[in-house]
Amino acid sequence: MAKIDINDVYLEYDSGSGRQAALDGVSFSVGEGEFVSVIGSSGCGKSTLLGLLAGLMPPSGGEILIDGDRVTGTGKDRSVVFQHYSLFPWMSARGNIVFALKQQGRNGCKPSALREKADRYLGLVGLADAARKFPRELSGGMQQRVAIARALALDSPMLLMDEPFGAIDAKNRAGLQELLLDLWDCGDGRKTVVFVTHDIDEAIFLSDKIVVMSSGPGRVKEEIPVPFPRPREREGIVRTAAYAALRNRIVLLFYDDLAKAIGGEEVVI
Amino acid sequence: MSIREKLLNKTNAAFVAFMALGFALPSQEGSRSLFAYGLAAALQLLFWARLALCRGDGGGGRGSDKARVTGDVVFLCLLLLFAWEAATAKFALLDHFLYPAPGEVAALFIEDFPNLISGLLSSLKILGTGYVLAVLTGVPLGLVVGWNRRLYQVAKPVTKMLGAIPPIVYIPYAIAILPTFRSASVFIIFIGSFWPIFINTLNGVFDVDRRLIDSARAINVSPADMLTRVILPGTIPSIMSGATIGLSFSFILLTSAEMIGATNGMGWYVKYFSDFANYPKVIVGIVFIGLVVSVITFFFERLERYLLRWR
Ligand SMILES: Nc1ncnc2c1ncn2[C@@H]1O[C@H](COP(=O)(O)OP(=O)(O)OP(=O)(O)O)[C@@H](O)[C@H]1O
Ligand SMILES: [Mg+2]
Repeated sequence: MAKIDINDVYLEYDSGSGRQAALDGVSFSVGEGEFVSVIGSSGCGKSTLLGLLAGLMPPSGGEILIDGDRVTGTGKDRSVVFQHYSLFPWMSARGNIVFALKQQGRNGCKPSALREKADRYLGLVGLADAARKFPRELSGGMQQRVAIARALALDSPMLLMDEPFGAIDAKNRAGLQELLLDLWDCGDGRKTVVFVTHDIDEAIFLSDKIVVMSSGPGRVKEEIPVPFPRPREREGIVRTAAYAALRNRIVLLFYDDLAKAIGGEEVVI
Repeated sequence: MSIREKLLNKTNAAFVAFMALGFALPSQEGSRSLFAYGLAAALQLLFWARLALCRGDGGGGRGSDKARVTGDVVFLCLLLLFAWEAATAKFALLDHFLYPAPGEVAALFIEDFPNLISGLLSSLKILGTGYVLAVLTGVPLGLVVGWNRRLYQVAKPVTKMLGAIPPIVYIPYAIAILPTFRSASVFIIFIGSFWPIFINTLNGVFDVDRRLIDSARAINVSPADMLTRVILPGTIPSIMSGATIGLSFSFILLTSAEMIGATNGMGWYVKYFSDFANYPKVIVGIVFIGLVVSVITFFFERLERYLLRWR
């Protein structure tokens, strides 16, 4: 049995002009400890899908199973990094993390222990100096890193991440990718990760499997396994022919979708 | 600001001119001009104190900015004071019975200060009780009702209806049904500030960013923490604007009620002396109320800035 089973999920939003489907017939599964990336063009329903996995709303049709049980709400087994960082603006960077840790039921822990843990994770994402700052005082990329630190500090068995490195520069991004892989594969057993990204190289480097989505309404276009053994070395895999082939395949799937959207027969780049 | 700027500016010039003209021209009998000069000197001292606080660092800086603003304000006050003094004490252009000289008002203000303070205390007791009660009930009720969809849908039309009644119309009835004047005033102030606080809290809850609520749900926030640590702080901006409206309503209601039925208090002071056609004291009362309201508003804004420091 897979950790996460998404079965024929349909979701429609109530928009001003009526009902509009955002996801239609989405099915795939994620194994225990598997790292799955979801890519697809903007507006194809990736965030919506992650919201469903997080349990923020129920699907309009189909079902989502975690460990075989239907998801009916949010749960302590999942932590989420939202695309919009959604830190609480009235709490400091540290306060945001401590607050999340407290909700996890670590009320028994001493406040000083929670603070220490929060600071440790802030240090891991390179924000040791920002602990006392309010989100307003942080740049977009810094806020995003606080949100990442918050989710990682919760140390839950499932991680749902929505373009977590979207606002972060290439150098920091590489560091964070490695940090994420380290934390993913530490402790007892790997975490299960669903990771939304626009960056094909990022998806290949991180994932065991890539789910490519197409839009209007969102569907799963293809599931592509990523065969490189771990631990992966960035420079090592990028040069292989297998990498180039995989990358090409994904790029073509992407443009195929784009061509359909534009309505042309072929897209010349 | 340079030394030159500190010495040669329009505020200093106005002050010197004021003093020179004041002492050169004779005043009408009983206009107690010395007190007007004292008032001018007090204003000027304020300006000089601000100047002393800002270093002579040649312009720029927040300190010298503030000094400049103070200078402008003091300059304006001196001009008004001068016009008032000229029209009354110096040239008697206005009817002395209706328009007392500034010196008279200033002198009375000082002489009657103990009475003003006792009136202030009596007023504040009523205002504080009614207003604090309104905050203590309006905010929690607003949070709970705003957070609960069904309650919100019921409360919305009801508040639209009841909140729209100008609270001033409750005054006569409240005085009739409640045993003491004090309890009636407290009740009216409570009603008057409750609605804006409640309604603003209600709408504030509704306007809290959905994404923040999702974020809270994703970390499994407990219902109590959801209200106190997510919804409440997210609603503070609205609550504060409701509280500000409530506060200014309370002042109006308090002084109106006092004018109708009190035997003490700031509003009563003004009403009592105007019944005796003692207009200098009426002006004293009005100026005093103005000062009290400004001081309270000042501290209120400080509180607001503190509560919203994360913005
Ligand atoms: N709250 C909402 N109400 C109505 N429609 C919505 C809502 N949220 C999203 N949609 C619609 O659902 C579709 C999918 O949106 P979603 O945010 O899931 O896309 P996405 O794949 O995450 O895009 P991006 O890569 O730009 O983040 C879009 O067409 C969008 O217009
Ligand atoms: Mg998205």
